Amino acid sequence: MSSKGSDLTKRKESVLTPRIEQETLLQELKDKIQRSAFDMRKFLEDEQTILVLIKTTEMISELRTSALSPKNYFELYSFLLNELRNVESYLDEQVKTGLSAQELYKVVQFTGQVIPRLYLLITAGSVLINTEEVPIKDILQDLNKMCRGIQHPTRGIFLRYYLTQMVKDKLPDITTQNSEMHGTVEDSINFIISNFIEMNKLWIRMQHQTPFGNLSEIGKKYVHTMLGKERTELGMLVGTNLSRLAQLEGVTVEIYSQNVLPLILHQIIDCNDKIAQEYLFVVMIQAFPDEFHLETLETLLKSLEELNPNVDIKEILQELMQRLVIYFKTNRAAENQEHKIFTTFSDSISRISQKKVLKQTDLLIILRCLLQIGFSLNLNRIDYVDYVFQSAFRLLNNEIIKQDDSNVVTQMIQEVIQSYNNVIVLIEIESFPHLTNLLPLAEQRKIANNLIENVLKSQTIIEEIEKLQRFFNLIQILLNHPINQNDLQFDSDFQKEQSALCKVIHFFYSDDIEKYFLIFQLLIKELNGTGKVRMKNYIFPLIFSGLKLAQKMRENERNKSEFSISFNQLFDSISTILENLINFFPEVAFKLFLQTAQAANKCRLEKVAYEMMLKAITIYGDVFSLRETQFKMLFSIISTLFTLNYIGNEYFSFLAVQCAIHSKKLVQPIHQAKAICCCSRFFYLQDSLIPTNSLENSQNQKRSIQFHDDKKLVGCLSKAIRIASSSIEFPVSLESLFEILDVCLIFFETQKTNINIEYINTLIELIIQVKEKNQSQPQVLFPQNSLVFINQMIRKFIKKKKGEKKEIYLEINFQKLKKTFN
Amino acid sequence: MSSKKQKKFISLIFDNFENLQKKEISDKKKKKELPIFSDGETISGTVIIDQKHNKKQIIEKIQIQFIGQIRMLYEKGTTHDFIKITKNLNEKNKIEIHQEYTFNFQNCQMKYESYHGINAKLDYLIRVIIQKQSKTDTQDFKIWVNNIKKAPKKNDSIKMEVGIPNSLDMRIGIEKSKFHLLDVVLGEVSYLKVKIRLKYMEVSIIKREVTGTGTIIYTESETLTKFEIMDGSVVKGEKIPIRFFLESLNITPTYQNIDNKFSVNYYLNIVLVDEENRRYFKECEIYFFRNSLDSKNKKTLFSKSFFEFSQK
Repeated sequence: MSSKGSDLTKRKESVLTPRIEQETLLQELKDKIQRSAFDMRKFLEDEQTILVLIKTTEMISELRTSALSPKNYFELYSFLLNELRNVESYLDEQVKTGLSAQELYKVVQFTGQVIPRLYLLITAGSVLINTEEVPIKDILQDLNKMCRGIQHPTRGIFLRYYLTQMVKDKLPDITTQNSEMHGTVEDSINFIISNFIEMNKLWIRMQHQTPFGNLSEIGKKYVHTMLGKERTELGMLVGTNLSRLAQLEGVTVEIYSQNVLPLILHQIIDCNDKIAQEYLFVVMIQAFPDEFHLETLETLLKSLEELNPNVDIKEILQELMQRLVIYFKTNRAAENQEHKIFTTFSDSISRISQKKVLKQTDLLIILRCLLQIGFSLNLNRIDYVDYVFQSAFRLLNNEIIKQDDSNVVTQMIQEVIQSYNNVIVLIEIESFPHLTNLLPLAEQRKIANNLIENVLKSQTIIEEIEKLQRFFNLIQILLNHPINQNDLQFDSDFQKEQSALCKVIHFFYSDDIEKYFLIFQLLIKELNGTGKVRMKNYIFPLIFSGLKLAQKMRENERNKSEFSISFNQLFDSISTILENLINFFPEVAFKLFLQTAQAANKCRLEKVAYEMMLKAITIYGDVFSLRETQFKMLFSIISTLFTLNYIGNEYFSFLAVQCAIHSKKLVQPIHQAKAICCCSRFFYLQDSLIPTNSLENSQNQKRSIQFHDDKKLVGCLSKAIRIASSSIEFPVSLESLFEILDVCLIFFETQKTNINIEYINTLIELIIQVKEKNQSQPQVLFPQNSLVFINQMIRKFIKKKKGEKKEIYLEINFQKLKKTFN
Repeated sequence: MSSKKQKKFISLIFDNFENLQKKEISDKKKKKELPIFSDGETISGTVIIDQKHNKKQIIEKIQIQFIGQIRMLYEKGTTHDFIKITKNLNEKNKIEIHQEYTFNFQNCQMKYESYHGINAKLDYLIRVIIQKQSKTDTQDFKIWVNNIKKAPKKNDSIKMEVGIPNSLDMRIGIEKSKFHLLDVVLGEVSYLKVKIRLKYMEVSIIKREVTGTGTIIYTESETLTKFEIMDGSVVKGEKIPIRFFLESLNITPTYQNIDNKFSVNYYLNIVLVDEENRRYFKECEIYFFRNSLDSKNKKTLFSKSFFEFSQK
């Protein structure tokens, strides 16, 4: 081969010019086309075919430029396209009136320049197809082959784009006439695919054929970036082929999988170009129907693995999977297909994951898509979820380092929670806790809270111990994450989550005692020892759970069921929990001991109830006897004791005395008087005499044991009177005395105690004395409400003289009392 | 050519002129149509002598000659007659004012074709010679000879592997090496290795006329067309089609050593131009033969005029 240095025909070769120059140049070229087009249209009207062709050649010649960016070239092309369409329809008309289309097809090939020649050839080819003189297959093949003359990427792509545009509506399909001239849909497929292959080759070549010229390094880099960008824009033209292919009716799923897809994939894989592979794969997925992808899923996924390692497979997989998810929403996969689809995806993902070409976050995103596929296929297959979680767990290799990763995992888990909306199902997912545990604390808490919310919302009752254990495994974080004590007040989330947790505990029970006991033990195991701060919250639901169990046991006892566990065991457990609590939260322990005592009483566990009361009293003695709330506390004990109707006399007496002793130790005399007066009632205890306010919780219970200790009764009342008259200031002392009198009258009415007529009258005298003694001190103001109270009492007493037992009141001088206070 | 309109002293009418194929040539800037004959054909016609406007002269002898001659333009007027047949038209001395003579050259040997080249011209003519007492009048009537050849039995394809060491390797394939004049050159250029950036590729047809003998040899090369077949920088593995319609060219068959005077050969030249405007080319000879007379398959006005433009 010889070479000569000089050349006369110098062509301006491209170096990307600045934007303004580009625009100027584009305008210039447009103007030139415009001028030729003007002449062309004139000849067109005069039907001077030769001149029309000559002017058309002139116009097309402007497409030979190398100086325009792809975007501007596109504009120039579009500008020209309008004119070329006019020429085409003109030639079409000419052929109808006698011009030989075959002659035309030949003659345009005389053109010396390759670009105008091929544009004209395509135009003539389009006209020739219309005549049906030559088999369309031959024309298409010929055009395809001749277009190889353009090896310049941009110019070649546009030429071939013109080709697709011109023959677009002429391609044979199964809906079109089938004959030798018209061709078959296979002809169309072959044509489009080979055109696609050629366009793609040119497109890829753009990346490697940069007109660097004498650019500096920075300049080269700039050009490279610009080209990459503009190249991506040209991808659309390449993708047109795939869209057109998909539009062919004749491309059935069989033809697609056997003839079309292998060719497309081969080309995409073979080109080994990142941009092309990414773009075309997505276009292919978008262009063809989802049914096709399902049919060819395995091939499709395997080919993904063969792509250039730099390709973002994630984007492609995501596109495919998300489309299928939507598809499955309206088109259920056949049952026998479901599993195959899922495993095809999962196998592929696992292979991709092993290759380590994808970033961890991307793999997680894909797993999330797989999860959605699983959902859309069959929500009942929790093994799918389990698979995804396990995969994610293995992938993360026991730790999460990046925020992105944890976000994806969290989303994934939350989607699972939302999709099932049923904790009973969720806890079956073995790998759920493993995966959750890898998340940062905040995310773990969020998920645990979601689960709890779910139980609350759906009112799901968990009775199986295994399930409950699993549930606790899932929400473990809430029970043990570190708490910043100082910040606790501000951590409203913590309060919210703990109160939700407390609520949820109420959903763990069973009507089966054995099961319930196991649940209760589990609750103790899980909750006890979670620390002071948490225990303060959990203790109530925990103890109430125990008490509810006790109640259920009692109910079942009536049905004569037998259980392997005893009440004592149960109450022992409760008691142990409470004792551990005394040091931290005595008040809570105190209240709960009282509650437990009542419960034990209901269960007719005399001794247990007694012990619980004793514990409450001990706490009171140790902790509360010096507090301001002591009176209220003591009254809780007293009123509880009234309800314990199954406690035998011996225990009862002891507890009552304890109450009385503590009453005397109260700080304020008025409280002492009230409490002792109240205690007095323990010592003559009959059904009718139990104070109504303490009966609230034990409406239907009758005290089975009668208790009467007259000595202690009189002792209490006398002590109360003494305190009221001597230690309490006037006029409050009067109120106290009236109250005591009221109580005394109760015992008096029974006529079975030592509170006799003398005792009553003495007390009345004492009241009058106290009144009169203090009346001499005018500075003491008698408060109106005291007076009202006293007058009410007096009216009540006087009424008794007319009541059922009026005969015993004959010798009691209420009138004098009335007189004194008038 | 006949001279019916303008009464000339000597004119000639070929038999069946209207039905003969014609060749249009330009002779001294005038367009003429010549009848086309082929080797072995009989040339017959009528010579008309018209003395109406001339003084009546005594004509001693009228002869008619069939001549094949070659003229080398650089030899200034020297002609080499490679064939000459002479016949007497009149035996008597007497001649009328208007006299017609029929002539007939049986089965003329015309193995060379008429050719008008740059340095060489090959013509066939019918010469009428009228010898008078005082002077001799001669008049030449050209004919055009085209010889149809059968397609050669052996017509090898052209296969060439060419390149530049380490940077270019290509294979040129042309379906055949011998073409008739309205044939299409079909082929393909396959690139096996491309390490240079090419700008375009074109094919051209070169006509080479070699005249003279011995030490004096004149070679005239003429590029008949440049036909771009590829635009842009090609890469390895690509195959670029060649399709070139010879119809669009004015060519003659290949002439090999005509009467030891001249040869006309044609070459296909493949030219590559790289981005630095360096040219690389590969030439190979192709042979043309005639399988039909020129005017058969005459180009339509349509294609011809488009061609003329497209070659600009």
